Amino acid sequence: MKIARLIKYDLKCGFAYNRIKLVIALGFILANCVYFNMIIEGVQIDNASLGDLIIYFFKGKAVFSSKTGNFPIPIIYLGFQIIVAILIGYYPYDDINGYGKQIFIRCQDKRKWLNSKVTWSISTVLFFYLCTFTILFLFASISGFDMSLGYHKEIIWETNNIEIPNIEASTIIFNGILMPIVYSIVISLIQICISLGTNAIIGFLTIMIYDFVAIFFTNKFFLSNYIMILRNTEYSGVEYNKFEGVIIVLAVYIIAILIGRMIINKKQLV
Amino acid sequence: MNKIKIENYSKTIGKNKVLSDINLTLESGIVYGLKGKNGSGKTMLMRAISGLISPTVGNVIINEKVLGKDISFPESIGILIENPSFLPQYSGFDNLKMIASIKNCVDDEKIKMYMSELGLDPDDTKKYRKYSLGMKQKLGIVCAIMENPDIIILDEPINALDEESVEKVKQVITRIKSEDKIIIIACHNKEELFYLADKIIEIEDGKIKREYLVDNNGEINENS
Repeated sequence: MKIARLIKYDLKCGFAYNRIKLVIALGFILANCVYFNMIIEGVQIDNASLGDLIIYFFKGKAVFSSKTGNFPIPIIYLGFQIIVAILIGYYPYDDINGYGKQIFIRCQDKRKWLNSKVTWSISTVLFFYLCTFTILFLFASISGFDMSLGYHKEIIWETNNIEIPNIEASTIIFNGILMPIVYSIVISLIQICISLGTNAIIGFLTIMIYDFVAIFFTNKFFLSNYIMILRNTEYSGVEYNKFEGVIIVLAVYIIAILIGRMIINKKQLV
Repeated sequence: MNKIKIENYSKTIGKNKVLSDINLTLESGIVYGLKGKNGSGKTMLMRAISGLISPTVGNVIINEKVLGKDISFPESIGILIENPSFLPQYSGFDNLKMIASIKNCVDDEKIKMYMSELGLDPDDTKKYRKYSLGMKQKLGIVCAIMENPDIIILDEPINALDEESVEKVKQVITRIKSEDKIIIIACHNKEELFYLADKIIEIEDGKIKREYLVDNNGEINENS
């Protein structure tokens, strides 16, 4: 049995399974674009840029300090994590506990089933981010924004009450585009492993707690620190090493694959 | 000639011993009927043969290949275990077509033929979520038999079926019985089970209590 057939099946079923959730998710993105437009109306700048919009979506949160007292929860950051967790967490679990038994006996190999689900999860994450960036790009274009990765300190001040001396374009590309995608792929796999070992709810909650706790800690093992632009600037004073980030994320991914294989091999399909 | 040999099979889940020291030999051309109360271990035995669970002790050997060692799942098997589950947003035919695409060994016409044989309209665009219980059950049976597997496992196949549909299921089982397959059926209706099966295996508390042959009239063959 060729794995290509299994992947084709998972892509078809998985996307059908998630289509309504995906529409809602993209609605969330669009709503935040509109909200961004409302915010910048009150800011004294000539023209916002695509960079402003990307920073707005992937800024995350500045470093937490218990002294400052007021520390609003980053809604967009959490929104993205919740969306990815909802898109990924339930299909493999539902599949293994229902329809998937028919697939197992036909594909004859538990590892192939897992590999196919991993491929599906990567595809789903990529598709979601592709849609997200397409919306951002189109929105910026239609709104007449400057289509560069430049940014305005005034907008960051308006949305975060902090003044950031400089954000490199490479930081926007790495921490605002590449790392969110890579992080979502890795965290999805971890969520699939936890779901298969326990259940979908525990998998979802574990990931949510991990992502939530990361808001308050600047430890490099809370991987979502790498996807917060504000934590990777001169302002934060804790700029994360990009190379180190990639190595840690890749290592976690490989470990998760190995654990996933062990879990699926021992899984009792009752 | 297909053969399933179950050797000293025991399965413990948590603190419950759900199957205990099962020894059985199942051969093709025979319909085996599993008889027992709820929770006696019929479905677990079916899962064990399907490779869906692994033994705590013992082996399932299918055509000389040990399940879980030489093969992960039986190489040619169709199952309907407990409630059939399909994708709610697709029609019955689309669901079957999608499952069939994994092995790619049955064409659309065959799927349609099996659906029609059990009284399902293959051209019906109704989504699976709108199917009645009986229609879901029939779709589950088609799914189990459509790829012409050597081993067919049907757990409560006539659940929720009307009389006419029960007759159709009986006809299908009688037809495939002549095709040299191992067919295992669990059914709470003793009359129907005895009609369909050639050999009854009684299970109680996860153990095999008794095995006996039944004749064409569903009577116990006293010589077995």
